[in-house]
Amino acid sequence: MKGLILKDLMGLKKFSKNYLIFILFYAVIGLFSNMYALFSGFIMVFAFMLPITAVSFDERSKWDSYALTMPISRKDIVLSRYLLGLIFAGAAVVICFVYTLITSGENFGTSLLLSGAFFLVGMLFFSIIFPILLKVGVEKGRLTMIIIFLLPTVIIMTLSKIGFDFSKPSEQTLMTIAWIAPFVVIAIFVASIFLSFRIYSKKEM
Amino acid sequence: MNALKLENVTKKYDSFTLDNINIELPQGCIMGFVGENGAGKSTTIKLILDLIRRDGGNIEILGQDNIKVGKEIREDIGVVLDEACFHENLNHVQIAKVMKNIYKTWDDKNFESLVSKFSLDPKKTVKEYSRGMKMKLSIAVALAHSPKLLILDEATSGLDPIARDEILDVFFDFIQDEQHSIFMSSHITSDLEKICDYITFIHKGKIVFCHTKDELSETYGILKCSQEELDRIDKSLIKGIRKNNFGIEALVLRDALKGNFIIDNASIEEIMLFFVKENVK
Amino acid sequence: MNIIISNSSGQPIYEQISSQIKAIIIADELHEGDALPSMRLLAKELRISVITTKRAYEELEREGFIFSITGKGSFVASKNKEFVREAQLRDIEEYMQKITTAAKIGSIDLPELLEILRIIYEGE
Repeated sequence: MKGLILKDLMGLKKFSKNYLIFILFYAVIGLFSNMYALFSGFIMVFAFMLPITAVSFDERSKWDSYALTMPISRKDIVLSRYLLGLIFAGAAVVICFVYTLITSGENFGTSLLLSGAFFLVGMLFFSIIFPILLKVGVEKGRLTMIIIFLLPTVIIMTLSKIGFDFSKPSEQTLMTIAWIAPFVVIAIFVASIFLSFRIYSKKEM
Repeated sequence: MNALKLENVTKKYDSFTLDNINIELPQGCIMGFVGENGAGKSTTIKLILDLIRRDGGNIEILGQDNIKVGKEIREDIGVVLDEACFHENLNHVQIAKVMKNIYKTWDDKNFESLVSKFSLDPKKTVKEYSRGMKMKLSIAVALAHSPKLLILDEATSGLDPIARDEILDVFFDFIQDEQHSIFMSSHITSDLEKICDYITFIHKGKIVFCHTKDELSETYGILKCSQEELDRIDKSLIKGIRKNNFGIEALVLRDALKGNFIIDNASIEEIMLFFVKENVK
Repeated sequence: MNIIISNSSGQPIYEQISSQIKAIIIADELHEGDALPSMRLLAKELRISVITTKRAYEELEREGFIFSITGKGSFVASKNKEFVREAQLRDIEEYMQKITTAAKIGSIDLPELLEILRIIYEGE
């Protein structure tokens, strides 16, 4: 699996370099305005995009069929993708955390909470997306990805139109969510891995 | 020991069935796997590699079941598929780093000597490679971890004769070790004529024959004669007929044919053509 | 050692190899105990199948010209003059059989045949 991750990291280097300009741009803008969320948002989106780009590179070069002729199991391939997602989500969260801490006035605790929330969102995203990508591939999965990405926004907007009260929930509610959420997301993540194992083991190359 | 053994292997699709495939490749030998496009060559190779799952039969690689042992046995096989499947942004130095972490027996020195023999530029990425260079890279990767069995699926098609000759040389070197074997599918029969010990011919999902190259050239011949002369010959010796306006060409069993006839050597390609076009059994 | 094979000569390649090696041994260009190139090396250099070279070597061994040691290779056997002569006589008888058949088909009688042989033999 190390080899697979290495391949993805090295392969994405070139791709990422193209976006370095944007990253620096947003970092600087955030520094001078007070829109630090812009930078964080961009980094998070970028971090979500990278593992999926890695998958599309693999699809383009028909890597999977070839990899399976090597001492690599189907499970290895699946796991390496999830691991890549974790690596990028983790790195992005750390960057955002540090950046937010430096640029904004938010205290340590809030920054930590926010970063943690972002990380969980990332994991949730991958948990939903990866099985879909495995089943239908990146090209066909693109539309689904966009829908999933926009879904939370759409739901919230619809709910608020209906009249759902989004006034700040109580401290207690927040704390409960903060405690439960990680476990729920981890469970979904693990379930997603097993689902992916299932899907991939049946796939004919 | 057989390097490769397929026993009654079957795979059914809607429009195509691979039917009772039996192949045995003794260790230390090279087997050419020929057939026209769509005959089932790639399907067979994918079954050997368990890229697709067989419906029936057994497949043994280096004496072990290809599904039960799976991952471990693939340390000992080198595979070249008909496309170079590397990440387009990587150069061969980076690819070596990746492969080193995949194969236990990866040898950097071996890989270095092969890529320099093939004159592959370390600065170029796979995206910038020509088809020939891609194939050479694939072959270098396949050989660098000292496999015992090479499985090649149309590894030389799309290459110019000079590149193909270079590659055949590499294969000849590989086979100097008696423990090494090669299974190669190709429709460039001239390459197979040069290097193979055995030829297996597949047609419409069935194995038509499996002979040593010598057996083929000793068994079959192309008879050139007139219609009248053909009529006088024992029908059981004739395997296929091609008529032109000035005479007949027939694929015959040359040994049994007595008499003063013009019999040319039959190339693998000609044997294939007669079998396919004339529906020889 | 030179081994030249022809794809178009009609003679099976393994036979060409074995007869050329035989000739080399008989002509004393290879001595008793000398090592022959490995079957695989010969196959590679001549660009033919290793099964062909194996067959050539097997025939040479059968006729007593060489012997093989597993793991070490093949070597020239001690030359038993009588043995060599016998092998050559066998070949000659085979050729004579073919000549006789051809002669009879062409209605060529024995005196004419012997005359042809004399011309060829003395011409060399």
